[in-house]
Amino acid sequence: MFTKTTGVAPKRLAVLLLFSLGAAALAHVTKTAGDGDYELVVGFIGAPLYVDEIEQVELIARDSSGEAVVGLESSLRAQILGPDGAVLEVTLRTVHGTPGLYLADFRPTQVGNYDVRLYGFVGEFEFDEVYSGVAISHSDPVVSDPETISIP
Amino acid sequence: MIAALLRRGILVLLAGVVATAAAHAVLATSSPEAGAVVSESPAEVHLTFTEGVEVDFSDFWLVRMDAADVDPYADDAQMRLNGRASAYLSAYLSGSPSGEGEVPVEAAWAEGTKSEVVLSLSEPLAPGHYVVMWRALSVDTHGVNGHVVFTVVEGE
Repeated sequence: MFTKTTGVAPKRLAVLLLFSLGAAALAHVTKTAGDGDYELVVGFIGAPLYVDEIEQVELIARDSSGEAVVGLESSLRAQILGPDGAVLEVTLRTVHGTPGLYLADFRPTQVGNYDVRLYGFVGEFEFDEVYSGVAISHSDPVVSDPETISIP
Repeated sequence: MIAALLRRGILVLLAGVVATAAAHAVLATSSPEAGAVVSESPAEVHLTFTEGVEVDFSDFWLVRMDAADVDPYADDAQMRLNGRASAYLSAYLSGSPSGEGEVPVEAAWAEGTKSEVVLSLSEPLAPGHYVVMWRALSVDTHGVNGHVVFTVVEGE
């Protein structure tokens, strides 16, 4: 009985882990630059997002053959578009050991929807797109009140 | 008990990764500096890093980019050129560069420091947009890469 229980639990955990990884991967949106020459995938790390938490936008950049695109931290800029027209310019930084991955931090201060604008140049192509926060977080509003999940 | 020990081990490992990640060599300055427009070819390119790099275990490349359509004096020139540079850097790091426009360089340490690398050019640079790229091994044994763009224009 004991053996059976410990044998099933890891399997169940593995399935849950795979499911959650799949869900996280789905919570991203891909847009292309050029004629499909580059793919720029944007998502929030740690969605759902909450007021006053330090949140992160991630950008995954790859070319049409799936190779990582590096060096974009100096040719692409990102903005967080908050409620009531608020705009925050954020800095994209590289992640050591993970080519093609870029992160940017921001701290939302109110409940509402936040989008991400990515603009600049990739290779020879100009790029300027807004990623819907609702689409990339699968949550509406994008940023929630932490009181809703608070417990004494 | 074993799970707790494993968890502690993972935390220690992660802490080590974070600590070393903060200590990598990054470019501090360069000559020509990033985004410079110079009216004559430099004889050398200098790259100064925040810590030493192992020249013998590093790669440095200088390439004249296919970017004649970019006005070096336009407001967005640097972003445009860095966009082009990202394609070159990605190709060189993945081992699939076209080789077109590459200028042979010889890399050596500047006298008395491992933090500054001098790239001697084999020939004067013709007018154009250039990208200097590296895949370097820092003295703390971590690999780093990066790039700098600059432009050579006709002298007056």
